[in-house]
Amino acid sequence: MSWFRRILLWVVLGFVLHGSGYSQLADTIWEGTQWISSINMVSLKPDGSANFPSLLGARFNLPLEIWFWDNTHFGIVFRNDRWGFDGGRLNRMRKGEYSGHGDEFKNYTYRLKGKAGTFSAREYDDYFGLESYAGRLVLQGNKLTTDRVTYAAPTSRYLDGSATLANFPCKQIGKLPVFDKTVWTKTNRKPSIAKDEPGYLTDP
Amino acid sequence: MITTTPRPINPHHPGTLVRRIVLGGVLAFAFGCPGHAQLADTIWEGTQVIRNVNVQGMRDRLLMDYPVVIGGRTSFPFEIWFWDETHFGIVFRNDRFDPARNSRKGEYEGWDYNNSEPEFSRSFTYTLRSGKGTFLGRNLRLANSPWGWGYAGQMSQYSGKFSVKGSKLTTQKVVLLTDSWDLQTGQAYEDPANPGEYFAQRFDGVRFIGNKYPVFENTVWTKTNRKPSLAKDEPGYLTDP
Repeated sequence: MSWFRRILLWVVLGFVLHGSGYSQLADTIWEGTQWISSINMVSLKPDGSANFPSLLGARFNLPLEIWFWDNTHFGIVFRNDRWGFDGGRLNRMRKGEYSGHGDEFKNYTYRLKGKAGTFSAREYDDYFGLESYAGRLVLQGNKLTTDRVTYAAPTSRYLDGSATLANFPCKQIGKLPVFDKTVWTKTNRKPSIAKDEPGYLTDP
Repeated sequence: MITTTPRPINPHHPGTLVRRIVLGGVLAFAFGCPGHAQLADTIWEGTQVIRNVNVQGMRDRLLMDYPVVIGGRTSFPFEIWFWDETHFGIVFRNDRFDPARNSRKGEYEGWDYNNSEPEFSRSFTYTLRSGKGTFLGRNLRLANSPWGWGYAGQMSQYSGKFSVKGSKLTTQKVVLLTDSWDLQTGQAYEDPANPGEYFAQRFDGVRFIGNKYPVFENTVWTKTNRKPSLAKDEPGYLTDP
């Protein structure tokens, strides 16, 4: 094989492998348990001072899915139906709550080259400012691993309505939450189909 | 009318030492008893910090994979109601925890002062001597809950030491003992077919997990001007508002 052909072959193979690296994630859904450490939340009185309840230094888990829409964009689904603590409300809730690509003021993107990649989630709010998290991911067959990630948000940021203590809006204090390293498992489901199933992006 | 004039004390008289000892004994007794009287019919308020909170979600009595909370530290607004020289109870102040919730001001658990709960054997007692004391709270369920939220033989107990100094009362680390500790969040509903009969639609809540139970940290409680003998009749504590 000539030198020129070898180079051409490597270029083609590189293109194919590069492309397949992307296509492994495009239109796939991955599920896992995301542990979050360093939860420091306190509810507030109207004057802004700390009130009951508070939860400091805790570590807890969330049932999440990652929806990779295409070669660039992703979103996160919190699985309400696997969550056990919401009493009768669960019957009236969606199966999952989506946040990510497609939402206004949200920019959730990823890049994958070969088996390794990066991801970035940014949300902007006129009042609260920017909150974001970003990290690395590694793909190995049906396992996807996301690295330890620190959530970043303005210190004055209230967590959104899904993170309340006794129905109170809570302020995060002290150290920021840390998303532990997580292994995600590939499912047979696809965002292109799941998006039209009632209960994820629409009410059931 | 008889009047007496106190004799001047001769410090060198042999009887003076005896008098002093007697006086000391009387004073010690007098101060020892008010130790009890300091607490009888008083209410003390404070914020109880609890750490090592390890809980797992329950839905319909089944442990769920989510949420699991490990190693949290939280705080609750409590009151201690000292009914008399022996008995006490604890009031969880709903209104300080969640003012938006339409519920009682407080939820009482403790000495069954009017024998209103025959399905429980409750022993909430304390002793106090010279500013130092011990307490023990024990719940034993004698019958299955008709709402499905407890079973006969279910027991929980906590005990510890405390000290009193003026209007400050300090409880030390509390030791918990229980076979299983669940906090339910479900509600009981009246059976439409049988008015007056209640059933639990579903048992949801959390179960304390792991080998270590929560640790109640040392807490300083402040004496209030309120009294259990009066507060018990205020709507919203022991009765619905």
